[in-house]
Amino acid sequence: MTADVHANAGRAVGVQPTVRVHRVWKRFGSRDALAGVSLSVAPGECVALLGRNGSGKTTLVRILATLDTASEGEIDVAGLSLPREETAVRGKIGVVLDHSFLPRDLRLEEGLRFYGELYGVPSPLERARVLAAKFGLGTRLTDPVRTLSRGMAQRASLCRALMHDPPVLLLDEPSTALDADGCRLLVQTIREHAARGRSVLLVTHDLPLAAAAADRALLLRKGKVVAEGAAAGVCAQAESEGSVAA
Amino acid sequence: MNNSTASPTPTNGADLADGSVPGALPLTGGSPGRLFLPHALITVAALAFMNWLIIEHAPFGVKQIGASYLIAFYHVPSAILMGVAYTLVFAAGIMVLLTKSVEWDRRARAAAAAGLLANGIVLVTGSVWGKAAWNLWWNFQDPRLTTSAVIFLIYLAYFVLSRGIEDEAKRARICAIYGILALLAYMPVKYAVEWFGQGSHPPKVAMDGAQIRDTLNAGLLAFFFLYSLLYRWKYDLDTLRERSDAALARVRRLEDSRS
Amino acid sequence: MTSFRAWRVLVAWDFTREMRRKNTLVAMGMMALVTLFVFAFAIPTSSVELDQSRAGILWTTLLLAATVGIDRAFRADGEGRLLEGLLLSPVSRPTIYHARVASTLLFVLTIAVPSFGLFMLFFNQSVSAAALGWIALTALATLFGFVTLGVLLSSLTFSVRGGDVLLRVVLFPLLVPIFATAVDATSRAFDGGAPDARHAGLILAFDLTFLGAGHLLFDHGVKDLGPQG
Repeated sequence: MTADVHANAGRAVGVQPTVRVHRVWKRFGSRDALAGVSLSVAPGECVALLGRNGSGKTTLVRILATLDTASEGEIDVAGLSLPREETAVRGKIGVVLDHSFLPRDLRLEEGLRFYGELYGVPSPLERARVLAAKFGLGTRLTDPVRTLSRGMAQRASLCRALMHDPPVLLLDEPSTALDADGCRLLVQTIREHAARGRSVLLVTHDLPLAAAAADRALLLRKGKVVAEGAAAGVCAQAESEGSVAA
Repeated sequence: MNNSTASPTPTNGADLADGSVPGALPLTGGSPGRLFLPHALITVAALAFMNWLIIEHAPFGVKQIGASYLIAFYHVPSAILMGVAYTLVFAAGIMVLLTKSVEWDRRARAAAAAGLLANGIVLVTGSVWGKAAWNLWWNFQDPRLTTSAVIFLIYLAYFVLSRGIEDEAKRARICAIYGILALLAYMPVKYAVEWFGQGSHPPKVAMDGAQIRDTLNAGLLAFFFLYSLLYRWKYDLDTLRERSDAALARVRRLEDSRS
Repeated sequence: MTSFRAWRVLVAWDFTREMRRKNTLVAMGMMALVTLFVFAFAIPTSSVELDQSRAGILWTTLLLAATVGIDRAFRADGEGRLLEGLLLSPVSRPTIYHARVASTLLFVLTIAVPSFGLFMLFFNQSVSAAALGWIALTALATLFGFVTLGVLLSSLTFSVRGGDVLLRVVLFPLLVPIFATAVDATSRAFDGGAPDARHAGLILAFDLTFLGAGHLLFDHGVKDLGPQG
């Protein structure tokens, strides 16, 4: 059973996984969005979670991001257990969802600085400038967020998630609306983050992105893990089954 | 763990009711409809007995307000049980938040339904008494009747809220919070009415005496049966509705996995 | 970071955002203005009847305007999604609630003051300084009560379809006690009397009850908003 493999995965290598999901269920009424999902992400690792629309990917990210709660199962993030220690977990995770969470009418730098302040970043404005420059938004810092294109808003969303340099990065479809250049930056960012011993959980149906950025991958179908292994292998399997095509 | 949803085995009702297996349908709530008829018969008998007491046993008229006081045998038990029912909504709401179980949401909703019926009877009987006493069907100057009307509105809104939310868990959570807030809003009103004076509500001293007490107790019992009957009816109906929804969803999943 | 510092950051952020477009203030102001006009046509001004109903007119106007602000606390311009951004941050849920109460109250008061001025103007009213003081105190305490309960209910209904109507359906009945008390107290102030201790007690009890309830229950309200907020 995949669940048991995962319970031992961390121990086998001798490192505590930063994200550990053990037999997690999420029910919406009588529908199971997640049906006993188990996975783990080790420090310095990027794990991709693949699956078509409605397979439960986003549900899992929202649970790990402490926005929703699991119906059943155990979850540890950065050594803290969910949902008991959720406030502490929030300081350890950076999350990209389908919205930038930056207010439309504020300037980009104001939005980023605000999140820096909330996370207790020492000099938030400096940090915002460094990140924006890195993601090619250096010249747009003083523009209102509403004037950014969708691709740029996605880059801004990545900046926001990285403001506090989180030990765990949760990315839900981060390549949405990104151009080739943006995707390259995204892969580079993920690899850099992992290289510094931090963890990334990448949720996507973008197979080339997963193959380029992730070490391992899992394939989710109807709330269950149906395949897992090295990123390239799982991506190939997903492609041949057509189970990722939206 | 053979009860997985992707490869369901043919199941009967007893199997479906097993909520302990991970992934099984969370079906709870006992067996709906059991002993419903006896309960209904007892209710009818108790109400008949109460009416017989009102006619034969209780004195026909008291000081100050005369025979119109007789409506109090409907009014007072309903008012007391209304408070009990709304307190149950409050308590069940706290249980929903603590246990995250939709079971308690059903209980809260059933208690709210029973409370609303009791509240309605309080309003109608109060209004009828008002017609006899002041020759007015409705009088906003009377703080107690007005308070009952506001409370009726508060719990009517409870059902509007509950109907407006589709997701079951979300509905349970939101209605639970509202049920808690509703009682919190209703408590100060109750006390405020006592502070601001009785209005034209008949004072309690007028309702004394052994025969009146007997009749009142019988009324309390009869109305308890009536409101608990409504509680069970609503609870069982919601349980059945939930089970049929769950069963339908399961059939749909079964069809999906075959196609 | 302490809760108080986080609270200040959140209030400042709400204020900065509102000052950019002022959508909520404009919506509330228009609601107040329109309501006053409707009353001006519905009720004969400068009459004996007006003296008896002026407190009610004032409070109906404030209630309707404040409800617009309360409704927009989480609904305005993708505000629901922005709330998710805050929920992701390591700031405690009660702090987020208290900050939203403070900023909403700030906006409501910003509209309440000129609305009162217009009310006095439209209906040819004049009051003594002492009465004005009592009315201001009553209004402050009552609007605070509106907002403590309203923000909590708004956090429950904003993610529901048809939530704007739902908010009013659940908010108005719960507000009746404090509303009626405020009308009574304001009516006495117009007539030159000080509010009763019972008025003050009831309004303060309401404020503290629902501030406490919001503190404890807001967390449950914003849990499991589900995908798409």
